[in-house]
Amino acid sequence: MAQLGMSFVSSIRVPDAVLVLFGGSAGTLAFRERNLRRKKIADMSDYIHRLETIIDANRTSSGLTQHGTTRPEDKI
Amino acid sequence: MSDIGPLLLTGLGLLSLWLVAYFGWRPYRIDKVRNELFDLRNDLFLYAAEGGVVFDDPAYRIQRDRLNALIRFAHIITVTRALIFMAAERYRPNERVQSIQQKYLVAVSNLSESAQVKMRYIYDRTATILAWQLVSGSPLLLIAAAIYLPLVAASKFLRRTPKESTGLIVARELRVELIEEQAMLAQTQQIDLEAFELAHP
Repeated sequence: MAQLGMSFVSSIRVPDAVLVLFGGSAGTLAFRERNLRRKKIADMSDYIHRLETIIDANRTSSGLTQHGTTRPEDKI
Repeated sequence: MSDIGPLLLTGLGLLSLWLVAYFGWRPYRIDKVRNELFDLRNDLFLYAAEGGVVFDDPAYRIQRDRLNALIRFAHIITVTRALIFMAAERYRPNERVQSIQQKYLVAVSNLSESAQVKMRYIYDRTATILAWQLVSGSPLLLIAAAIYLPLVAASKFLRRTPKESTGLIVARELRVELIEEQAMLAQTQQIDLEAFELAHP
């Protein structure tokens, strides 16, 4: 039975173009998802900042960019 | 000439793997650790907002500043840097690092019993997050952990020692507090620099 399974798997031939298309689509999707998440962070961070400052006037910030990424000057 | 096709395809595959690792996996790991630290900072903020600790208390301030510094400099949490910090600390201990830690411990000892427990939880959780970030970022450390962690678990079971989290044991071995303090120093220097630039435009 196991041999039959192995034989089936080894008989599968996926065209290279399909693999490239799949990889490219997955990468594009991941990239767009990440951009969407960063846009949402930018929207929410200002909101959270304002709300927290009402409670703690001396609130300190993490110092990241508005999108939640490393500041260019902090990149070592 | 007919062999060039598979060669090109292999090259393209390897290049794609590198692109995914460098532009996908690496930033993802940094974002993930930042998210976990933001959760802890939020936990600390809510605890203070509910009256568990005063916002102006030095223990709260130092803990928040520590988390902020780690969030900002999360990209420096790597095994290479951890080793450099360990070597530097061994040959040239930083007094400023020790003074920050001393101030924090004194401030925490002045808190109520429940606030001390909360602060210890946040401190320990931060150390565990950093330890996992270091271990998961290095294939060599992952292999070492796969061997070391079952041994630690067996030792804890056989000796019936007081329950100390395995993550904390790893954090202590990797001296993650040095990364915390270096991040705080870098944060302080950046804030001083920004203040100087504002005063001297």
